[in-house]
Amino acid sequence: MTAAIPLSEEKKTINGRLQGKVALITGGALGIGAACGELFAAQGASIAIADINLDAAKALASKIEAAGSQAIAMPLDVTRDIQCGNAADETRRKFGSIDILVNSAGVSARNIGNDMTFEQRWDRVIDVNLKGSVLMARHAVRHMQQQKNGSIVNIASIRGLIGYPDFMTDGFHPYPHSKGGVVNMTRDMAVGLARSGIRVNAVCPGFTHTDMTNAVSNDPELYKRIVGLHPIGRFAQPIEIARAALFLASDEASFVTGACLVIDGGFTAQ
Amino acid sequence: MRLQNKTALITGAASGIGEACAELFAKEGAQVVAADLDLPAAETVAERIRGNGGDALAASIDITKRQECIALVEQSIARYGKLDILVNSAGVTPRKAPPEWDLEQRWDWVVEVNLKGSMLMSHAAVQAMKPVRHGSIVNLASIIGLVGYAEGISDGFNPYPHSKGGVVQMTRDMGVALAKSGIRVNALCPGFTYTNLTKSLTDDADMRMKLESLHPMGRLGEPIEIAFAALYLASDESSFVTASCLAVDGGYTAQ
Repeated sequence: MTAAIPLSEEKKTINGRLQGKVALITGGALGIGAACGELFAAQGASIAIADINLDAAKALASKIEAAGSQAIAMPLDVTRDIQCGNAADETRRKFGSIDILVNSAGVSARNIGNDMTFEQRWDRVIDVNLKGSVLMARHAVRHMQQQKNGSIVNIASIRGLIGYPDFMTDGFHPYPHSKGGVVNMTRDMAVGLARSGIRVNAVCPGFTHTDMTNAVSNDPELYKRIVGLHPIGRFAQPIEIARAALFLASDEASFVTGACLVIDGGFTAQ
Repeated sequence: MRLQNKTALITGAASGIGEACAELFAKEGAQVVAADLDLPAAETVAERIRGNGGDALAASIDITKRQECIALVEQSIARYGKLDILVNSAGVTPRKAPPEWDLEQRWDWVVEVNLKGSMLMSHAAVQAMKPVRHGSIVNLASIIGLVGYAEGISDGFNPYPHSKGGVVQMTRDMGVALAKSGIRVNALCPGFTYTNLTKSLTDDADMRMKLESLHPMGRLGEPIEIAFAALYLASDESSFVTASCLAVDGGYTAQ
């Protein structure tokens, strides 16, 4: 069976895999970030949902609270160092620690304004995807170093390992450039922080059904062509990426650091 | 429980990582076939699992023999009705070879067990998984399937990295080819882990310190830490993961 187990199968247990942990999730209101929030909450974590879209973050926090877990919503533009610092401090103040950071905030050039120049678009994607992950990680690490424990999960992409297929890029698309940076940032940060008890890993998803890939999924020709590049014959669901993030975030992955876990239905193996 | 009603066949289950997988998978609800060249040791593991309320069957296997691999899959299905998971954990290093063997005998032995054995066992399992369009294979590769040994450990003719590099690439090719059959194939690439395989290295205090220092975490892995990663890959939680090689190495290959 290769279909995703739906989130509704996740039963809230008294001994969840993240019992008593606090997770800060950027881009936490939608897509993979939101799936992480709901799944981690069902596994016993308290969740800080940080997103540039505060209304959507609040809506998800209410949903998680209604399901019997703790969640707070906060506004966050990950390209602003001060806001990243505030998000980390607020999470610690509210829940007492930051055990887990998921860097899920990200953009693709497809999803930013059409009024920007080439250079502005490139800068924006690098700022959000790469620099934003650095800034947020640095502030989370401030708290994690005091605790001598922590787990950071970066949502990279198969696009951080290989380029786009030729029919999708002119070679100047900033998304692969940014995600390649995230992959190697993960390795360097992991080595640098290993002795502080902080683990840093990345997941590299294949195409996943989220708002970011809607433009692709809604074009039947393009969609069919890209599905064909995944040997498994479909796109991922956000919950499938969240389950990998859960493994990496939890203490079960205590010897895993600097790893980039590929979740791509075989895309990059061929 | 994360492997409720699943049947898992684990080779090399009598010790080390295979043993840790057998115990963890049973605790998560799987029916475990604990297969090993050393049947009495496999019996001990199966008995311990049953004593803890789990379901396990011990079996004898030499994975270099094709007929034994086929018979083992048949035996598992005869007992439990199906096969959902195969963990290829049986493996050797030339350090365990008889001292009188020459280079070629050692090389053949290690490649035959680690690479050909995993291939034969997978081939037998896939025959059972294909008709039901469902299955998960987890290969125990190694970081030494991704990088060569650090200087001072190998003379360049140690067959272990050659065999494990083969396992990594076999995983990718098998993962791609079997994806549409509903069978996922993944590998774990552990760093140095405390098992019988590494005991002669880790018992040497200087060598142990050298190995520890190669892992940014400053320590070696425990079998249970590898087993948790195998659990993730074996379970339906990893439904979109195939042909993937996950390093579990305390940062060893990231630097």
